[in-house]
Amino acid sequence: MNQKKERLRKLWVSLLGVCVLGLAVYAADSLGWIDNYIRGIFIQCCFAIIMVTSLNLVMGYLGQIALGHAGFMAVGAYTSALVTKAIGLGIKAGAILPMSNVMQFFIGLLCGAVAAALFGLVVGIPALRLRGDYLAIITLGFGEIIRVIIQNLAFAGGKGLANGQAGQALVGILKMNDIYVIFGVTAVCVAIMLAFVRSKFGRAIIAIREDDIASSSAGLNITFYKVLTFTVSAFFAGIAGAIYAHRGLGTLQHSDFTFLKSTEYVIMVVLGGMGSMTGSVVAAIILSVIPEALRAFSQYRMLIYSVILVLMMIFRPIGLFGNYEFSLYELLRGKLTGKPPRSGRSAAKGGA
Amino acid sequence: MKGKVSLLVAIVLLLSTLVVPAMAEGDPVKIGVIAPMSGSLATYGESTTNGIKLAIDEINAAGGVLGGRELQVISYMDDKGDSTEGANAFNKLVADGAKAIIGSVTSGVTMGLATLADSEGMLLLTATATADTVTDGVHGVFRACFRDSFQGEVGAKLAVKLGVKKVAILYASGDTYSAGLYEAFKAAAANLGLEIVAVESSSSTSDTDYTTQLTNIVASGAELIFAPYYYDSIGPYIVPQARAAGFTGYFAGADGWDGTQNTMVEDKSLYNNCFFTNHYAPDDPSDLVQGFVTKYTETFGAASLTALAALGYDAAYMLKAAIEAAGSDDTAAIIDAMYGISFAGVTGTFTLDESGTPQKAAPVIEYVDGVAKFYSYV
Repeated sequence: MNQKKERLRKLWVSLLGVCVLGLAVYAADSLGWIDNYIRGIFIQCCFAIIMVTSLNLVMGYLGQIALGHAGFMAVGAYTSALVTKAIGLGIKAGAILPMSNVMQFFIGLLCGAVAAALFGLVVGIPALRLRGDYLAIITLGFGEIIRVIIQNLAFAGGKGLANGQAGQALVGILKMNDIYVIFGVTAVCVAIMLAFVRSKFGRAIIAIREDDIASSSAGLNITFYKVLTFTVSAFFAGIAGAIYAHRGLGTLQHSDFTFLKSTEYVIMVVLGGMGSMTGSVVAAIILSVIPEALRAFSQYRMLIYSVILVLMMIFRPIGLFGNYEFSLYELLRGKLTGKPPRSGRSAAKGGA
Repeated sequence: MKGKVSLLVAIVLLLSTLVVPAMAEGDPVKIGVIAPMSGSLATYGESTTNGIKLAIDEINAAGGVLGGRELQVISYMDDKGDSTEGANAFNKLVADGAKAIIGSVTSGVTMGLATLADSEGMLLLTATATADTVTDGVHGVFRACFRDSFQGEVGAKLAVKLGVKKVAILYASGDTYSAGLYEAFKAAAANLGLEIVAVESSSSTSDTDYTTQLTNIVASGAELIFAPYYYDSIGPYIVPQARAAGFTGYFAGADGWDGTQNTMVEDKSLYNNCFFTNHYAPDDPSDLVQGFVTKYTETFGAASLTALAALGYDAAYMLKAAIEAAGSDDTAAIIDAMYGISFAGVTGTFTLDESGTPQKAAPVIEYVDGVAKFYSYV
C-alpha cells in the first residue's frame, strides 16, 4: 500500500518536473531568447533524445548492438511525410475535412511510428536469432537496405506520391516546428520508454541481457522479449523520424539516413552510458549542442568533437552516467527529509 | 613635450593616410557563407569557399561595394553536408545580421535552406546546387550554376553536333543527380529526333560492374552512350568496361565527370571520344578565365581548382553586382535586383531567369589521350 502511494507521489513529482521544464521553455520563449537558431537546435535535441533513448533500449537494456537505427528513423520520416502530404492534398481536394497542422502532424507521426515498428518487427525476427557482432552487422545491412529501397521508390521522391520521382529528395513537406508540441512529444516518449524498462517487460529484458540461458530456464520467452524490445525501439525511432521530417526544412533525402547517422546515435548511447535513460538524454543534448558551440573553430570543430569523445571514453569508459538514473523525487526527498538520497540506483538493477 | 605631441600627431596623421584608402567607408555589408568544410564532402566545400574568398578579397581590394563599403563575410559556416547542420548555420547567420547568404554546395542541403530563405525573406545564392527543384517555388533563391536537366539537354545537343542518330543511356536509378539527368536527356533527345536504342541502369553510382548493361548497349547498335555518373566510376569502370565490351562510339557525360583524368586506367586511349559538359573550361583562352586560373593557383594552389571554385568566385561577384544594382544593402532590394540580372563571369555570360537560374552555354570538354581539352560551347 505504502509502495503504491510512493509510486503515485513519484509520478506527480516527475510530472511537476516536466511542467517546470516546459514553463522554463515558455519563459525563455516569451523573453525572446528563442530565435530560429535556438529553435532549430532545440528540435534537433528533441529528435536526438528520442533516437538515443530508443536505441538505448536495444543497446543498454537488451545488450545488443544495433547499427541500423537510422533505417527505422527513415521509415518513420518518409511515412509521416507522405501521410501529411496526402492529408494536405486531400484537404485541398475537399475529400478530407480541414484540420490543424498539429492534427495532421500527429496523424503522420502515428503512422510513421507504426510503420517503423512493423519494419522493426520484420527485421527483428530474423536478425535477433543472432547475437553480438553478427547482429550488429545484420542490422547495419538492414538499415542500408531500407535506405536503398526508399531511394528507388518513385512515390518517395520529388513532389511525392503520384507526382513522385525516384532518386530525388522529397520536397514540400508540412512544417511543424512548434517547440511546445515537439517538447511534449519528446517528454511523453521518454516517459513511456522509462515506464517500459521499469515494467515487468523491462525486468525480463534486463534478465536476458545478464544471462539469457538462465532467463530461458526461468521460463522467459527470449525471442519474444528480444523482438518486442526491437519493435518498441523502432516505434520510437519512427516518432523521431516524423519530427525530423517536419522540422521546417520541407525536404527529406535518403542520404540523411546512412549508417553514419546510426553510428552517431550509437556514440551518443555509449557516451551517455548504456543502460541509463538519463545518460541518453544528456548525451543527446550535449552531442547535438557541441558541434554548434564549436562553430567558432570552423573546420577544426569536428576534430575537437572527436578529441572530446576520445577523452571522455578514456576517462569515463562506462559513459557519463554509467547506469545511474536521475530522479527528481529522490533528490527532493533527500533535500526535504534530510535523508541521504537513494541515488545511484537504476532501473537496470530493478530500483524503481 | 610639445615636440613629442606634435610628433605623435604627425605619426597618427601619417598612419591615417595609409589606412583610410584601404578602409572602406561606412558600415560593412555583412554576408554569410555556408559550405561543407568537414566530413566526406569537405573538398567540395574547400574549393567553393576558396573561390568565394578570392572574389571577396578582390572586391574589397578594389573598394568594396556601394561606394566604398566593405563586403564582409561574417563567417564561413560548416554544414558537414547535413541538412540539419545547414539549417542551424543558416539560422545563426540570420541572427548575426547577414544581408545575404551564399550557400550551400550540395543540392540536398540547399533545398532545405531554400525553404528557410523563402520564409525568412533572406537572399540565398548557391554557387553549385544543380538539382532542378532547388529554385522552384521559392522566392529569393538563386544560383550561379545551371540546372541538371540543362546538362541533359546539352548532352542531347552534343549528340546531334557529333552527328550520331542512335543513342543509349546508362544511368543510376537511385541517384538524384543521375536519374534527373537521364529524364532530361531522354526528353531532349526525343525533341531533337535522336533514337534511344537502349536504356540501362544500375541501382547506384557506386557499382563497379557494368558489363551486363554495356553488353546490351553494344548489341543495340548505339553510337553514343550518355552516362551521367561521377568520375569515381567513369574512370576505372564504365569506360574501360564499355571498350572491353566492344563499344567504339562516343561517350557523353556531365559535370560529375570532372576529375576523371585522376581515376583513369593505364591505357588513356580508351578515353578518346569521351565528352562531358562542365561549368567552365580551365583552358578557355579568355582573359577572365585565365586571370582567375592564375590568381587562384597563386593563392590556393592548383589542387583545389575545380569548377566549384570557379562557381564560388562567380557567385560572390554576382552578389556584388546585385548589391550595386540595388543601390542599398537591404535584402529585399538585393533580391529584386538579382532577378533578371545579367552577368559575365568565369563560368560564362548569362542572365538569370525568373526562377533564379542562369541561362548559359555550357562548355564541352573532351579527353584526348587522357588530357582534358576544351572542345566548344554547346
